[in-house]
Amino acid sequence: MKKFLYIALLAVVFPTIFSCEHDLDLKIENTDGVLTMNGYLYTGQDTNVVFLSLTSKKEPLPVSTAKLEMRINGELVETLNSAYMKEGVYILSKKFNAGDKVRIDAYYNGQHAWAEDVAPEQVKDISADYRTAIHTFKREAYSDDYTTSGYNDVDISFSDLSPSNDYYRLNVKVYNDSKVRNWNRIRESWDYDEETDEYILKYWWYDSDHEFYTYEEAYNFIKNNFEYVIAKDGNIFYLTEGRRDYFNFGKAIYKSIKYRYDNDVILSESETQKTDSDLDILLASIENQYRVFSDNQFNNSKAVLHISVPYELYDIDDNQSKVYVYQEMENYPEDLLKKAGNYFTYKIRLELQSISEQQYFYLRALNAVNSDFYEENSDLTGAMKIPSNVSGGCGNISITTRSFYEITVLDNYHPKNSIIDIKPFYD
Amino acid sequence: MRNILAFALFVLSLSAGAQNKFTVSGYITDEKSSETVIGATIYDTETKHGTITNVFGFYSITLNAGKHSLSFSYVGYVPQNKEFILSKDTVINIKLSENNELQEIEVTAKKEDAGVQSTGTGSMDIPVDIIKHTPSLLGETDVIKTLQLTPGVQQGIGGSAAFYVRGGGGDENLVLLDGAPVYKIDHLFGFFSVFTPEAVKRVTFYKSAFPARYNGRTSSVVDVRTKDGDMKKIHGSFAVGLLTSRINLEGPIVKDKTSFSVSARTTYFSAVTKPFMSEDSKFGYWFYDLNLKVNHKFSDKDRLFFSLYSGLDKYKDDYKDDEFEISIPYGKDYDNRPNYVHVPLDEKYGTKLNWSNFIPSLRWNHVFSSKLFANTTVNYNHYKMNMSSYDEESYKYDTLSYYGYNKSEYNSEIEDLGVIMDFDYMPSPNHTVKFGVNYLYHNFMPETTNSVIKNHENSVKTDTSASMKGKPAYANELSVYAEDDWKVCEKLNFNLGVSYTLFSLKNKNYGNFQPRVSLKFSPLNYLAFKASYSRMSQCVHLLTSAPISLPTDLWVPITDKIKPETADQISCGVYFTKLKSWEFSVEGYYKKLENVLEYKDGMSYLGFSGAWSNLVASGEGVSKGLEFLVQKTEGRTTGWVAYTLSKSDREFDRSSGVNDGKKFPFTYDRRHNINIVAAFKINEKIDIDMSWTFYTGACATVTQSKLQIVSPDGADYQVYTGYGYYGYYGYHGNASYVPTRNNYRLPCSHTLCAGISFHKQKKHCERIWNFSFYNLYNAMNPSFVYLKDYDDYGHELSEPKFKKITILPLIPSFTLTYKF
Repeated sequence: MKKFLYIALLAVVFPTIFSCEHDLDLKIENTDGVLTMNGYLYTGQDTNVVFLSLTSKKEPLPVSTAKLEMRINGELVETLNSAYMKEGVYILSKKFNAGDKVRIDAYYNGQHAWAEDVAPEQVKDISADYRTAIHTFKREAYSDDYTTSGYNDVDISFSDLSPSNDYYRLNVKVYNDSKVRNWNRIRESWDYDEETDEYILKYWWYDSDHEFYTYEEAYNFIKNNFEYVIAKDGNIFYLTEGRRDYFNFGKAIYKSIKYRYDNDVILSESETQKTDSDLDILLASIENQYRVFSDNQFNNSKAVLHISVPYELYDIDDNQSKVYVYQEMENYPEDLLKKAGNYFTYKIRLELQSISEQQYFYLRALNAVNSDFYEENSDLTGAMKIPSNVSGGCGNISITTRSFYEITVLDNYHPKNSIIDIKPFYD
Repeated sequence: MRNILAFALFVLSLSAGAQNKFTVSGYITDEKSSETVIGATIYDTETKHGTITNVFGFYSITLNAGKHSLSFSYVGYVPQNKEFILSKDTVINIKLSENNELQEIEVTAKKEDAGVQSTGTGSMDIPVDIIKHTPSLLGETDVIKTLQLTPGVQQGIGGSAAFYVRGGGGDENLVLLDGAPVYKIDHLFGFFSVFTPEAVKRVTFYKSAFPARYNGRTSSVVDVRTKDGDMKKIHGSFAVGLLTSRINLEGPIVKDKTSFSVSARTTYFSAVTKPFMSEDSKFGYWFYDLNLKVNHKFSDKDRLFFSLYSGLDKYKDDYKDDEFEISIPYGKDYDNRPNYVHVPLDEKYGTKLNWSNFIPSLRWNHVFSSKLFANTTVNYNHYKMNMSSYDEESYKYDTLSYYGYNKSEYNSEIEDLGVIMDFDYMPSPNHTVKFGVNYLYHNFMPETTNSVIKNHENSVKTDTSASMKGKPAYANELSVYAEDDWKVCEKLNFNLGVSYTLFSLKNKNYGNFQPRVSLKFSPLNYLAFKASYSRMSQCVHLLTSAPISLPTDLWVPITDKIKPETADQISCGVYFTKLKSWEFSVEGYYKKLENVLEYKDGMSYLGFSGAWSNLVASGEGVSKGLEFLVQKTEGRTTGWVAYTLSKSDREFDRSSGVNDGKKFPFTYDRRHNINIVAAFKINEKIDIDMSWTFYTGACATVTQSKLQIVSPDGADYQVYTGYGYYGYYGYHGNASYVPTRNNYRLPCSHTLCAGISFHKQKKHCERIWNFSFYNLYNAMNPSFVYLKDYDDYGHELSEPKFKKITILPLIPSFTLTYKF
């Protein structure tokens, strides 16, 4: 945009072509040391976290010695006199339910900040359907970097909570648990027995340390010492944690994933597609990084969201998606799965959060603050005031009520008792 | 409604006792061109009664039977007197001839419709001569730039054509072009207004005591009337400037029956810059204005006018880049892994941006009787904005190929269809009654976006497209009004008016009753006291995100949740005209705005285009101020000194999400404003014009502190408790901490503009060279302010610094004009 603006100004100041920039000695009010309260409280959760800090010219300063009070429906239920961690982390352990009014008070150094929010109702009728697809998307906004990848296109439907304004957030977590198939045979060898002067048939597994005299003995050994065994086509398959030089899978957890919402009108809230242009300031939209949306387009009726969840596997150690897997598998995840192992579970957990209006606007503001777009253009519009519901201070304390829906995309998990088709290799 | 009927009956009954009275009526026109003269004075020296011509040059005065001496006068014209014995209704059409003596520049005309002599406060006629003699940026004189120099009017960024009246927003000004509202009044980010002075006949400006016939905006009315066209001979002018050229032509189609007036302006910036652009880059910016008017006089009773305004801004850039290479998989390597090759990528990208106004209108003037004049207008208004950007990439390598195309479009449109019926009824010299009805059908299409993605990879096509049509909003706006300018006695005038507006949406109707009262008391013929109260309402809003005018600024209607904005304004003033050619006035006002719209915190930002109604909140505003004006209206040196002391605040509920419920100054609140405008007519050949403005600094939102922000579940932050992870609780970052909006006042700004014109009469035309200087002493006024955290090399500064950007330093320019 700046370029465009300069071109426009160039048109205006064509004869001299000088717009000037100078230091400005502003003496503005000192706004350091204001108590900041932040926290996303979850309905029905055993513990909730509140962060306290002070505003500062450089980094905000954590506050660890404040007094924190939690009230549910006006009743004081918990008091903390110091932080759980020196980073200003306070852990509250009182559960509350949908419809409860929760108030948090913080006292520090003569300052009293407080915020109040009502726990939203839970969405009850979430359902979803999915299909596998291949899409080409830009990796990042404003970049030339496209990627063609496999996705699970998920259609999610639910009913709006009420005729009044309701606000939501869709968080998607992916569970993938995979172990690399490795295989070997129970091999036979004829060993010469000097005592009997005979050749004895032995069975061995993997190396000479594991020798057996009968196939059954070898099989039972494998069965008892390796977690899962599947015999097929004369091979004995066993499952390991994987070879680190190739696939590196770790402990499976549910992990949030950045899904695409490019073609969804509700999540994009009229956000336009990003292209490379000097006019981005005009055309541009700020990415809905936190995936919040209002019921503006489906008030008191049914909503259908269309999202694309990338078919990516994550390594828990380094947090990098294994994009190269797709290259190996010619961009076809099903191939990957066939080759990668017959122990593979891939689930998508949809976490539909009903959130308060405060949280909706707070997160939309954060969408902007975190964008390059804001970084580049804030000199034109001035500093942004972040929405706050904290009286006597600043920050955001808001309540989220979650509902879940889980899709099992693939489940090649073979439990131990499903060992099948054990065929002696010599057959 | 009962009140309106009672009022109408009351004013109609006023003529009941006028049996021994007769009416003199007619048109007053320019002798040379037959152009109607608006606001000319008709004065009966016998009875001391008078009236003025309306916007179509028509007058009507009812007098007792008997001998009368009527004087017809208008500034710059030789007055005429007619003596006659009135025994029946009489039509007297007057042709005034121009005063051939040295023409001074007249600052204000002595008209009773607006200005010191009018009943109401806060009104002013801006003569076209003054508009032409106001030095401005790049010599582009225009109506709005002159308005900005009057008291009570603030400009936005220096040099821009935006204006803010008595603490009102930029969208609270009703700008009418021949009666049709104009939505987008500027070109090039607001630096030039759409009104070319050559096309303009008269500009009347109201900032309080609004006549009842004006509705729809809360802060001001700018009524621009264009020239009808010379009925006698063809003439015109041609002007060449640095940025634009203008042409104006007017003349008869059928002499004394039909005439035309056409004015056009265009820029040639693209042509000038083209040689300096690289081959791979095509850039173009272009705008034009076209004003066309044709009028036909069927008889003294009937006239028909067709007028058209068409304006377009067009921006385009296209870039080509073939230097970029990408690596693509091609075959397999020895390890059976993909082999990569580098291939050149052809890339094209660009942007288009267009916005336009198209406003045709048809008017019919009909004189029903010597006391009743009617004007019926049908107009259509289409404002359209379209932006699109695209990028296209392709490569080909052996059997592999790729073609990617990505296009985004954003459209916003408004279509209005209006029918207006205005009646002027003059039952007696003491009453001028205006009444009428105004119907507007609105069709708002605020946001429509289209996205297209094409992906052709090795002949496999995966194309997607998404189209999002903003919900169109249809609305019917019906206004009925009546007003009476009542001369109670020689020293006391009342203007009583009422207007009722019904704004009908799909699911909701809003009715607004808007009373208007003005009082003028003149104990002495050179001293007047005035007071007024007016209520205005507004059902459309402009959502803006930046201090400059952007095409993305969105005109939106009220909704079933967003109520109409209203303004109640009390204004009073003292006016002194004892000294010849001098006028002194002091006006004070108090204005209360309700349901003003502001973006919620964090939303007042570009890029939040969607679902606008969710992003705004309604609140209140209060403006108050004092305006001092000293004018010299005649002589070789004319001009004015204006000083405005004002304050304007906004306040919203805590729950609205605006500024935590705390009161904050309006963005264009400026405590002190001084404007000095002077025009010196040195001789027939040379005149010098200057203006100097001083403003208290504008408000800005700045901060140096940072506050902690926390992202929700899903980001990478874990709390380790010693017994395990509590889970993901959000990413910590920081952002600017803004305690309140507009928390800082920037340094004062002041600008001196000056121009000198050299006139030379040639054989067939007059040549005028004008040299003008914007910001003559190069004051570094802050246009934008920002906090700089990093140096030019990306290193964090130990102490962040505030920077100001001055976009308009000293700018000289010239214009060459030929009048023929």
